[in-house]
Amino acid sequence: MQTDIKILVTGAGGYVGGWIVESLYLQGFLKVRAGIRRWSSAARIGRFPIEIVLCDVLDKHQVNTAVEGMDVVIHCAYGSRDATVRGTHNILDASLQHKIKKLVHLSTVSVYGNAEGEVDETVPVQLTGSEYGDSKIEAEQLCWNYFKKGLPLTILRPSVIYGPYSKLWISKFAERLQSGQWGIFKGMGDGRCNLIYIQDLINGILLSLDSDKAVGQAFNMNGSDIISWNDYFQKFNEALQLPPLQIISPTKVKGSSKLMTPIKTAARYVLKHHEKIITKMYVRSLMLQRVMKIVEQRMKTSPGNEELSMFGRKAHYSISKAESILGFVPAYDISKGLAMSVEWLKHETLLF
Amino acid sequence: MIKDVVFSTGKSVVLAIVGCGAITETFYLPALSRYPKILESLILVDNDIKRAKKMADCFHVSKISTDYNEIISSVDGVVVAVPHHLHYRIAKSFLAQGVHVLCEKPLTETIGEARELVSLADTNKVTLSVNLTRRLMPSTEKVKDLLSSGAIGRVHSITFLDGSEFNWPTASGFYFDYKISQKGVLFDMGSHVLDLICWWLGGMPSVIKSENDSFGGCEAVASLVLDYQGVVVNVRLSRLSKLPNTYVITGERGSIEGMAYNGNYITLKSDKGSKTLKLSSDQSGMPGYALKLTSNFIDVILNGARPLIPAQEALASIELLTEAYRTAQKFTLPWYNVKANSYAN
Repeated sequence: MQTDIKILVTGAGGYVGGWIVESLYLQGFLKVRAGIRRWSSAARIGRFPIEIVLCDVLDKHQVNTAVEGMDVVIHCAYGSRDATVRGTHNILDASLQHKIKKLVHLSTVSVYGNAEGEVDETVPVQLTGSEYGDSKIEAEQLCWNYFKKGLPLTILRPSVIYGPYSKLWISKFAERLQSGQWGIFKGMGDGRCNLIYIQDLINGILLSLDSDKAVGQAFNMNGSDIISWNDYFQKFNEALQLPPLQIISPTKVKGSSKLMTPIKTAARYVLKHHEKIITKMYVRSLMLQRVMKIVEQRMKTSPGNEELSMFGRKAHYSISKAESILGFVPAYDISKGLAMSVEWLKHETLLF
Repeated sequence: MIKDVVFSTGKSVVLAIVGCGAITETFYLPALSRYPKILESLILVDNDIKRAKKMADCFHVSKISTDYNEIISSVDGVVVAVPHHLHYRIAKSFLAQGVHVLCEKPLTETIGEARELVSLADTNKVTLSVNLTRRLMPSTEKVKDLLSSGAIGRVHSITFLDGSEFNWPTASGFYFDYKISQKGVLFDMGSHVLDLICWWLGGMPSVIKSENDSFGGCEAVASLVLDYQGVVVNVRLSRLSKLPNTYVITGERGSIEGMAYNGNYITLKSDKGSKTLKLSSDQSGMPGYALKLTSNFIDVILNGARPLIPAQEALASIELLTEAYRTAQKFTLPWYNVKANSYAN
């Protein structure tokens, strides 16, 4: 693939979109255009001498301007159901109109819902009531509609994407592990932890852009390790060189989750409706600062119900199709991926 | 209060604000709204007419303009609140025609430009001051007093950690346009932090090590090691992650600890123990600082009061910023070791 192609990446203010833009630039794709929803999310990609444009996917005018003149679109932006579904519709529409040569839509393995066992692309998608997974299914359906209209596209369904800059899977878990409150969840963390290192996903995107056989296809994107969530906690803990993890009994985990769920809901409500007054009180009262820090710490180190359900799900997302059609081979095993992530945590001074 | 001064003398002043971005909306206009007479004659200037009109409507301002050159002769004072790279040019135009200037930080991009503006203000007998808000916090003023009075003895070190995810509601996105400027967090937040350090120390430290994460754009994380007559200064700034947002100053007889964004407290530690000082002040938080600064600016123009932060006092930190950029090296970031040009040819 020539590096002088013009590529628009939507959602470039986010973790994955940001990484794609940076990696493309470092690999010589200097004509990458980063589409962001608001300027305040541009701090990370702003470190690179690249074109950054406003591209709120719900704003047809912005989308049209961002897509115009591009050869390729990598669509990562998502959010509320509206942003994911109507936003994808706007991107697809503009891409068809501007005769985009290839569009890669980043979906998720969550479209398989609660499927267990070996999950490949022949397993049907499944609505579960989860806004994220269900809206991604709707977005995929729109993609197929536009493929039929003549837009060349590929859908990628990554598993848990981790690596430097990941708040959800790296900095949050590093904080949990360092708190001493986290551990091995006996009987509740034995589900499959399907992880893909961010750079492997980016290689998968480039491979799918480069392959004519990828057009009109969906591919799972997953790493090479087959480990459980408890294994992940343990390996991450070792990479951080922390003391061995405690074994946490199911009763304790369930009790803590039950206790913290209403507290989390209440905290979210109070912050949403009374943020100004809380901030004012917070600044003035050292006591309140201490109390809020303890509550915040406790909330962060207790897994929620949805998380517990994920930690127990025994599904493995197969990448056989990507291997055979795209030649996709993950280069980062869990040790290498975590080692890079720990380097990043050190750099960000996020280790205590 | 300045409010009494304005009306008791029967005089008033005509002000303009050049730039109708986020700082004007959240800082200057709410503060100036306390003075209806000032608002009556205030002129809002922005090359984006829609933005100027929006701000004028929100704050009941009747006069707007898209060209600052057209209003220079009509005003006594101007607040320059435009993107950094425009400060020098716009401030210079007003100073040259005898208008008092209150400029957003950082005053200019280079020390040469800053010195030129200070000299121009002197020549034309007007004031040039800078909004270095953190100097207005009771805590930072208290630190200055404590250090001057030798409360912790000879200072050994200063560590300043300041970082949070960038969330400034910038309207134009100029912060991230590498074609305009490749200066990022060090220039933006660093101008506050380095100003405090120079102010507290009473001079400009030398740069021992300067690192950042720019790939040719605007750096988001920067780290400095400085030295001032044996005082070791460590600074870490980030737009990407939340840092402790604290400063610690250690001396031969104790230490002072403060919070970067909470001006109401500092903690004084010594062999005898630790004491958190609650600092009394009727100005708390950004609205209070905005009022203090704008009131002072009006008082400067009307009554010849001394500016709270004269530009002359900002020169040391601007020179330090210039030096930190000149000597900067890139951090080692191994996770970016992706094969360059692997798709070339």
